[in-house]
Formats: sequence, C-alpha cells, structure tokens
Amino acid sequence: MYYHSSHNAYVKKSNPYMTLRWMSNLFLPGVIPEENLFFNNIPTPLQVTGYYKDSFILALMQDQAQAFFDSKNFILNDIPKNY
Amino acid sequence: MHFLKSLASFSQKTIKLKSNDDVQIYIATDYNFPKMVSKDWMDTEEYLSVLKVIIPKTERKTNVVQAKQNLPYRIYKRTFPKGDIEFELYFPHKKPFVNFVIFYKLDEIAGGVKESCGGEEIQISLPTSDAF
Repeated sequence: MYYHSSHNAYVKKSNPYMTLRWMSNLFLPGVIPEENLFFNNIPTPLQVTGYYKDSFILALMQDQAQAFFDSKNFILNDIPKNY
Repeated sequence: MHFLKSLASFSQKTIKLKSNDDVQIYIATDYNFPKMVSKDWMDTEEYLSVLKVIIPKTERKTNVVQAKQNLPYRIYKRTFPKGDIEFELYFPHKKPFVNFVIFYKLDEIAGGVKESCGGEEIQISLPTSDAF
C-alpha cells in the first residue's frame, strides 16, 4: 500500500536548518540555487495599454456584453468556453 | 478575460497597443467579409457571435431584446512580445470601416508558465532520497 506522509514539526535546538535539493536526468543532485526559487506566486497582472481612448474602452469579455461602445444594437454571444 | 470594446464603425487601419508581458491578441471579424488580418494571424477556426438586436422602446425597462441577426465572427490569434504592438487591418472592398472584436490574454508559453505553476500541484514522495 502506498501512502504519503509529511512531517513538519521539529525541535529547535542549536541552529537547525533545512536544505531543498533537486535532481533530474540533466543534472546531478544539489541544493536548488536561490535564483530558481519563487519568492511569491503572484504573476504580474497583464496590462494592455496605449490604445486610442477615443476608439477603445476596456470591458469584460462575456456573453451578453455590448460588442461596440457606441452602439447598443450589437451584443456578444457564444464566446467559446476556452476563452 | 478582457476585450477592447471598439467603435461599431472603426475606421483606422493601424492599431497600436502596449503590453507589459508577452500576450496573445485575438481578433474576431465578420465571417461574411474577406479576411481582415494578415497571414501572421493564426486562424483558430473558432467563432463567436455578434447579435444584432432591436431594442423596442416599450421593452427597455425589462432588458428584453430581440435578436434580428446572428453574425458569425471568426477568431484569429497572434502572439506579440511585451512592449509596443502594432498591426494592420484590411478593410473590405468599398467599406470605409470594419467591425471587429479584439481581446487578449497572457501568452500561454512565454508568460503563463514561466512565472507560475498556474495552480497545478502534485505530491512527490522520495523517502529513500537524501533530499527527503
């Protein structure tokens, strides 16, 4: 039977430390270099700017949204789910 | 996802944008007209609909509208590196403006994966390893 066990508790004596190591078929086992660590997991939000403000406005892409900002007579629909 | 809501009668042939990261731009144009983007744009072979609706004065308070026409818009996509973006639109013959829907998202390869696991996680267990 396979099971996974995680142990996070430790007794703080002297100067305990832990190392995070990795290996693959491309390189030998070693401590993961600091430049390969993520210090957060928050990608920078995508921002598209620079458009002519009198030609475009930013809007949420969803069914029933008004397709063009100067006309209420066109509505978006059937937007593929992968978008 | 966001889109840039344009004028119904957009008459500029060049679109200029800026992006802070690699981005996939999508543009959907009326399938009944000749292709309005260059061959650099990939045809996704997907469609969205633009419904042409009539809003009777008496029904405005109920938000009920009736669609009079369903216009299929074919979706094309192109990846642009971060920075200044510029591309051309080709106007249909004798038509002084174009209708299109333009939307975008973070590039899946260059931007979407390099910075984040995207929420995917798996448990690994190597109890015999000295790194465990």
